[in-house]
Amino acid sequence: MATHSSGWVRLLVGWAALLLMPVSVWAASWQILVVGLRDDPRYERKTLEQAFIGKPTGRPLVAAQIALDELKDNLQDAGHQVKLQDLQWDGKSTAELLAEINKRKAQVLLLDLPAEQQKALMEVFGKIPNAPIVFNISESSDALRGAFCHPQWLHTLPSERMLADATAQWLAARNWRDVIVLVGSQPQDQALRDIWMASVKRYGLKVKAERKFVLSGDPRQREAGNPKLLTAEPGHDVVMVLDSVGEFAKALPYNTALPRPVVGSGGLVPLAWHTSWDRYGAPQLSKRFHKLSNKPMASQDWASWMAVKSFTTALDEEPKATLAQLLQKLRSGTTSLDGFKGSALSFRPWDGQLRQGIFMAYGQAVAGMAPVEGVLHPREILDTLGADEPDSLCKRR
Amino acid sequence: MRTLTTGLLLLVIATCVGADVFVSSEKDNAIMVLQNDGTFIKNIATCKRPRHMAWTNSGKQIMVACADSDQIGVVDIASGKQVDTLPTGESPDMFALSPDGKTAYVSIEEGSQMMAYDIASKKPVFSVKTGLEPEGVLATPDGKRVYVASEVTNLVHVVDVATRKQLGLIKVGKRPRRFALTPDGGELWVSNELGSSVSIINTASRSVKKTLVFEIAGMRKNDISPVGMLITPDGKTAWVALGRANHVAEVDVATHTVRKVILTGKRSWGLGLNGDGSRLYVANGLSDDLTIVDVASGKAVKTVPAGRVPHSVLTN
Repeated sequence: MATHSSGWVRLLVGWAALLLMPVSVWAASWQILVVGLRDDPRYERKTLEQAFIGKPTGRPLVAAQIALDELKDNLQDAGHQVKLQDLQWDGKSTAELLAEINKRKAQVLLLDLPAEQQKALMEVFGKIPNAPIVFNISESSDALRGAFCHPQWLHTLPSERMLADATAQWLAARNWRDVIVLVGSQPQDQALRDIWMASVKRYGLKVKAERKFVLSGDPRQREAGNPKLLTAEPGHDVVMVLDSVGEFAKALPYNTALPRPVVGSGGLVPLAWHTSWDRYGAPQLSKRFHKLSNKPMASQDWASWMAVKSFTTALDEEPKATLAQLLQKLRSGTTSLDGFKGSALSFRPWDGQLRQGIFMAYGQAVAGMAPVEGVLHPREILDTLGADEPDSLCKRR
Repeated sequence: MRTLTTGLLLLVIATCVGADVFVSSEKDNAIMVLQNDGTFIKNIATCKRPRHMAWTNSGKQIMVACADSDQIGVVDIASGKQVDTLPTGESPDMFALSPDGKTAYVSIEEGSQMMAYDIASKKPVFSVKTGLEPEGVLATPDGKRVYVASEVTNLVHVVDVATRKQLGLIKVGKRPRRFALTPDGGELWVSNELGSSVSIINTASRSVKKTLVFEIAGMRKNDISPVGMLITPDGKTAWVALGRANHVAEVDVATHTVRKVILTGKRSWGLGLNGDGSRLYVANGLSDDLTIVDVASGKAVKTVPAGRVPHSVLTN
């Protein structure tokens, strides 16, 4: 198929141009664009070296490429050319970013951006025709799936509530119900706390004590800075630490007053992916990723891989579908997807979140997977994690 | 001398008569040898992470693919030892032998290919590129075709042995794993682990004629994940292990309908049927045991320990 690099096409600016294109041209040529921030603090050398568990360990492009290669031959046989590009934005002008997305004719976006910038972009996509399919691959904020949800928006990374529910299920299944909760002093920590408390309630855990912690060696602040003093409460089963930064949580296990497990942002941590899980073909994927990137596959890498995989799977199944039909196919939850987690995954029609199992991991190992055995749901066991249909705050389905 | 002869005789009896069931145990690096009632006899040490097995040398030896040592091991039944190895590409998964027993067709996960090896010279003869993560391999009894399933691309590759080329591709269900061929060669069955189904391929037209979706009352579709499969020599019955549904299904081949499902251990996958077809052995990958099913009554009669992650079953 012809490419449209020359002549009149370039002169047409704006999304209306896409409407004028003959459909057949677009059916054969697809552009996936990974959008990240040029100076993303998450990828600064020092941050990457700290390697707090659950944080990204590098940019998501490699994982996206691996997913594209998986079905490349199938798609080529069906007459499709799918290309993957990378864009690092300065994070300033949304209008400039939109112009760039438009220039590159991207129909599928993988957003590796902070929640606020993702929200701003989605606002625009709500107002223009032929907006792209957008995958959020980096933000776990439940608000993006709830009050700020959008019909074009799909989320492959688990929401915070899914992670919290996974942990709460794990504790409830063991009857480790009495919990000390330690919350950081960042504004994001308070948001974390609210979500995790909803899970605590959902699964019947009991809060024995809740305390704010600070990162400080100052003796005048020892009540809030000393892990032993923070966890001295008798009669608890576990310590739940909610720390959006990760530094305090990382150092908490084995530093508690009593011999109790730590869960949450440190100790036993809920993750979308962990390389030591060795069933359901997972090691093969981790191995392919490691070969290309020379690092273990992290949750955010899996979310990036899964986003491309979702799009290419839909296209492989419906090679003649339009962009809107592909979005509908994914968003309706009727396409089952192979995430190498043992069961078929799909998107929740009510908020665009990918339903999936969560690994409960510590250090180098995976203790198990949630949903845990024994948890029940009338229709779909994976919907015991995160906002189920009746709980969803999403109004734009 | 006489004691020695008697001893040998006893040994022969113990190994040939008693030893009926062989189970590859992935994390024990061993093949477990059991009596037909499930009584443990011994372990035979093999290469690392033994998975798929096949009889060779007129049933005197077992070939076993070892994913972590990039080899196929050859295990001698009489001596109870691994006596030889065939080097393969990285991470061999499943394999099939040509009808003359001279060639091994092996799915090689790393590099996404099917490699054909000449067993006598231990040399690769040819290879065919497949989709990612090739899994099940089946060689037809007429020696003409080899089928390879690719888990990631949901395709079955049809390989022509004479020209050593891919003849065609057949799109099947999600995450295709294993094959079974009807005795007349007309139907090729492919288990789709994430499709909760079996794609039944018409081998002549190379197209899917029916997709048999498994359903169990009270069980979620997502938990039904078929892997292991076999069709009885009379061509009337297919057995399909339903993975995390913890059941095996008995399927009527003529009508493509499920006759019954039988409860097993957790994540049932590897299957083996004894010589007269009266007993089915089911390897359960998550509960590390082996369920013995009495075929006539359709009941699991016994479940016995089977190492760590039992994978495949062979029977005498």
